[in-house]
Amino acid sequence: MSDAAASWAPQQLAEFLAAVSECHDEIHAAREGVERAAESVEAECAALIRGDTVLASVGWLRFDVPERQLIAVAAAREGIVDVPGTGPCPAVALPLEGSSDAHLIIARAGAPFTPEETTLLRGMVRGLALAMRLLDTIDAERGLRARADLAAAENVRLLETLRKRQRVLEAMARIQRAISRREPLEGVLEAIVSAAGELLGDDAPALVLVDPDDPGWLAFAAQRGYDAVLAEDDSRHRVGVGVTGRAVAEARLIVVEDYPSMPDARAPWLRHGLQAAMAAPVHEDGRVIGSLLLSSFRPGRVFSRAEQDMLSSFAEHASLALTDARRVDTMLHQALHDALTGLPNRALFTDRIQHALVQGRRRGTACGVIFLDIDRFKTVNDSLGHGAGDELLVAVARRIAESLRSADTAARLGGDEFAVLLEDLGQVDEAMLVAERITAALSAPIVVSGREVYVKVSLGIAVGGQEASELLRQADVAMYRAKRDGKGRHRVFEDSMQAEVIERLELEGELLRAIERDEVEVHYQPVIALDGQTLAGFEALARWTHPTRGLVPPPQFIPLAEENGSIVALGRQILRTACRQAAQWLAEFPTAEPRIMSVNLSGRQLEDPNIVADVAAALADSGLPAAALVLEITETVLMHDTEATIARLTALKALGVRLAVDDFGTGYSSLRYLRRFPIDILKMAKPFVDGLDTGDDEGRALARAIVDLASSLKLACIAEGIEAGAQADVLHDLGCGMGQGFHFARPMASDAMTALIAEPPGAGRAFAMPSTLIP
Amino acid sequence: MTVGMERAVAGLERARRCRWADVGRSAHPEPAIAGREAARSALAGHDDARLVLVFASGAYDLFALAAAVATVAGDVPVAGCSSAGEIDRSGAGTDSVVVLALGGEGFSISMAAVSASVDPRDAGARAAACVGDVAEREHRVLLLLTDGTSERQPQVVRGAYSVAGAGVPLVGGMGGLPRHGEPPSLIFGGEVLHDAVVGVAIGSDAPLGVGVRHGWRPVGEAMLVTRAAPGRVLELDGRPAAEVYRERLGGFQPVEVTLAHPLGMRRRVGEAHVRWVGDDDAPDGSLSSSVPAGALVWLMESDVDGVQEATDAACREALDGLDGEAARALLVLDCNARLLFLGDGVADEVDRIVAHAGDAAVAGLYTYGEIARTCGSAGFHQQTLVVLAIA
Repeated sequence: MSDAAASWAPQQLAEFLAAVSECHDEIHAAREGVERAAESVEAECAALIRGDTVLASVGWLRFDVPERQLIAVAAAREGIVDVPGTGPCPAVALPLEGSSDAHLIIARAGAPFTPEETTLLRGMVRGLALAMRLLDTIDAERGLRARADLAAAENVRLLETLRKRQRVLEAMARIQRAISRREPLEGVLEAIVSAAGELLGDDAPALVLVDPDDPGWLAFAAQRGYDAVLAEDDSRHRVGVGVTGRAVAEARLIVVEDYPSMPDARAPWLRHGLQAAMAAPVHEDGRVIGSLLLSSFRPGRVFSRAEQDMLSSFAEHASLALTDARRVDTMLHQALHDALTGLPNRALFTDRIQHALVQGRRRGTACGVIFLDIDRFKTVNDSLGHGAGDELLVAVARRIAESLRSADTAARLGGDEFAVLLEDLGQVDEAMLVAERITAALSAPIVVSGREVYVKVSLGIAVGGQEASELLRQADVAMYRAKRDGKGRHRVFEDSMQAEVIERLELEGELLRAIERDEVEVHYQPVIALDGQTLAGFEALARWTHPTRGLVPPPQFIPLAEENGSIVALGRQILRTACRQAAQWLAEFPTAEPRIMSVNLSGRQLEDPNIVADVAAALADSGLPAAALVLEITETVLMHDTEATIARLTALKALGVRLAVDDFGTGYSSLRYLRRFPIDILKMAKPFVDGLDTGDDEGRALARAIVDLASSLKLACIAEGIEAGAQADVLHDLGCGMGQGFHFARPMASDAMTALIAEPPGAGRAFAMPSTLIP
Repeated sequence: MTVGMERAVAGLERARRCRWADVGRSAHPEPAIAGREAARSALAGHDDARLVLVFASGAYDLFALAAAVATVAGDVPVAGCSSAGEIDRSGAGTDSVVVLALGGEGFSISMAAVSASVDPRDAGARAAACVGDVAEREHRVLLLLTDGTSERQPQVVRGAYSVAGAGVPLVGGMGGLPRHGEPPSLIFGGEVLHDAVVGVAIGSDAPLGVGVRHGWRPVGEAMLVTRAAPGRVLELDGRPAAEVYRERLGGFQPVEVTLAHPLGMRRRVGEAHVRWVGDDDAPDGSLSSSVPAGALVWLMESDVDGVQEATDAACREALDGLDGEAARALLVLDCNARLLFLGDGVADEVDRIVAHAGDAAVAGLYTYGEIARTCGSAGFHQQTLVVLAIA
């Protein structure tokens, strides 16, 4: 909300009070009040009723005012009234204080009233009630004058009453304008207190507010006309006791006209001759947070009904000012703090670092920043839901805050990134100690959504620096390094890390260009049917030959592409190339059933809403039968197990392609997802194959378990990373249908593969043609 | 089925068969001849006219013109006003007179003219009292024709609303300024009035639809009008209004630019209510604009496309209000500021209106402020197009 928008209600109220104060009789005030109230909230209909008499109305034809409905709404404070042209609409009734049976009723077609509108209407009703009561007094005086032909002194008094009424409403309009202009709260409260004093006679007004540090007590916030010693010595009052205390506890106007005989009269006040007092509650966002007090030291002081209303009205204005000030504070707080954890956000944190750097230079100390990232946070978010993710972030924020020294500042920079500012550091070791404390604090499991979750965090530490942004960046670089070195560690920033980051950025840029220019090639590794050692298919693999760096290994560039999202475009290219190639081989070297073409599908690709269309297009463009295409997905992707993942995989299956779980056994192998997802093939990870030719019984048992699992679930099994003939034999004996690995052939370019397929059987290769295919 | 419904359906059937709307236009330089020609052309071949509306360029001597129209109309009520431009199916133009005649079954008409020089709100209320005369018809609308300063128009509307209530839509406008230095005029019967409000209550058995659109969009943060005087905005966000306005526009701007950047008053639903802004370099740093203190306003902007799209939207909205009945006439109250803003594009605007109208008669004028209230209780507009569709 902009400043202007936030000032709208007080300004509207100011204009309302100014307009009502110009009316010279009750009827006009009622009409003006009703029409302006309706206009301010864009309501179609409004009425002011007293008992069963409609004093003023707008929106209904003169003889068509639904009086019964209005009376019913007034009794229930809300209800339904007929709005001409629209029909039944919700209506609210706001009672006019001091006139128990008068109500302003507002009905609007469409949306119900917002809390802001209701607050505004309540303020308007309060002002209208006051104006009408004052006008009533004047009317009474006029009547009196007519009957008794009053003396000149009475005329003066009448004139004075008129002027006073004008002054009251003007003062209130002035206060509203001060609130809407965001004049300092202290000044606004002083203005309210002094206006109340001025307009209510020679009595002493004061505003008392609940002590935020000790909510059972009230303290003077502003006062006028009190003995300095009294105000100083007896300025604190208990909530529930005395005039002010009772106004707060009972949330209503308290009037005591014989203070000396009040049971809980306070001795210091009696000594100072307090005769009578009244206090009206002051609210902030609907909560009573204090009271506006008027004390009189005049014997025989009686508070008239109009004076009681006036005090209540001033209290209402103080409420608006305090609520508004709190809203500004809240807006400011929201702008600088993270809504979830309540920690400072990046803007405030950067400001604090800058401030700390200046302080540090002055004191000759250093300041440091710890950058912290939760490892595998996405997994928690995806598997347990965003609610759980949020719970986790809150818990992590709390544990970080608890591990800090009082002068340190924790912040949430966004997502799962946190940072800590350490001030007045002697040496880097101190920062490392804090990092270790944080790691230790987070090592105990965190319970989210009823489950224990273990989190690990990677921390980067940077100390020194000239600029906040520099220090933050260095800590970020160090954190990145910590993550790369293995999660759950901390690293202190070194200049060399910066170079690595730059290098990485360069590589990233070059990769993006390579993908753009379609320079990443596709190589193919044969998949072999283990029974007859025949060619069952191919796995398509990305190969990037950098113009100066040479061949960049996939583990270097694939994660990079995953991180920056270019994997989606790269994956699409590989998919299209592989499909085209497979179709070409199928045409040139037809087999009874087409050989399979396996293509890896990353998590990011599966998140892409276009993936199904991409696969369908690749098949359609190449003419490759869908049954020949196998899409390989890692266990981690399946772990996410979201409705969207299932929906996409099901849609892919519907195209006729087959799905394989890549690297089965290395991740969170779970039988649940094998049943949940429409999987066709398990690809046994290399570690299970490695030990098969060394007589390792345990390794053999594990490999057998995987093969048996595949068989019992009626899935095909492909062993990966076969490097020796003995391994292939064992796998064959165990019942594994297919395999791939260096033992058979390394991945090769398409022309080399074409040559290989074209070779006649028995031409020196370890496998023969034609192939046996997946069942 | 209730008795009332039966009557309404029968009335609607009659209305479908018998009612008509015709438009006459003349650009004859002689006011009496122009008035006579236009009125005769609109009334030709009919003997059951119910209402004659006249929109005449102020280049004419309106006394002579109004008298001539009233003579042709005979017993048929005549109301109208001077215009900054006139509209019919052939296009928009100046220095002409357009007469719209409505007739046939299923119409009730009642008119009132009230002086507004002392109390505009009261004048609005009294002019609206004629709505009571057409209460027996299922569909009603109150057409208000006014003159005077723009800041008193919301008062007129407020008064009219206090009598007509939420069940009767209000439409209308301020007569256009015909010649420099001369006040706009209102026509009531054969008379010409100033400082007045003319109310025309139209009751109908067939539906009536109102469309209101301008096409200006808010830009940037809202501003609060912290001080205002009649016809002037003194402060925005507590600072001199012209200073804040110029800050948003990058300095002092001539009227061609400020014309494209009116102020919009926030509404809970629908488009903001637009107010024309004049930066006349006033020494007190104020702006010429009729926005009351306390209003939350935006700086508005648009382009020709946006303003033209609003033309389509206003016509559609008006026609949608007919519940599927065919329109007999479209009465168009279009702001003079839109005429200036669109320049040559105004021909396109009228083409669009005619396209929406189909076979219906099209008549209207360029005004100096528009009246339209279909929800809430406020209904004064500027730089806006108001279309009344009559089935």
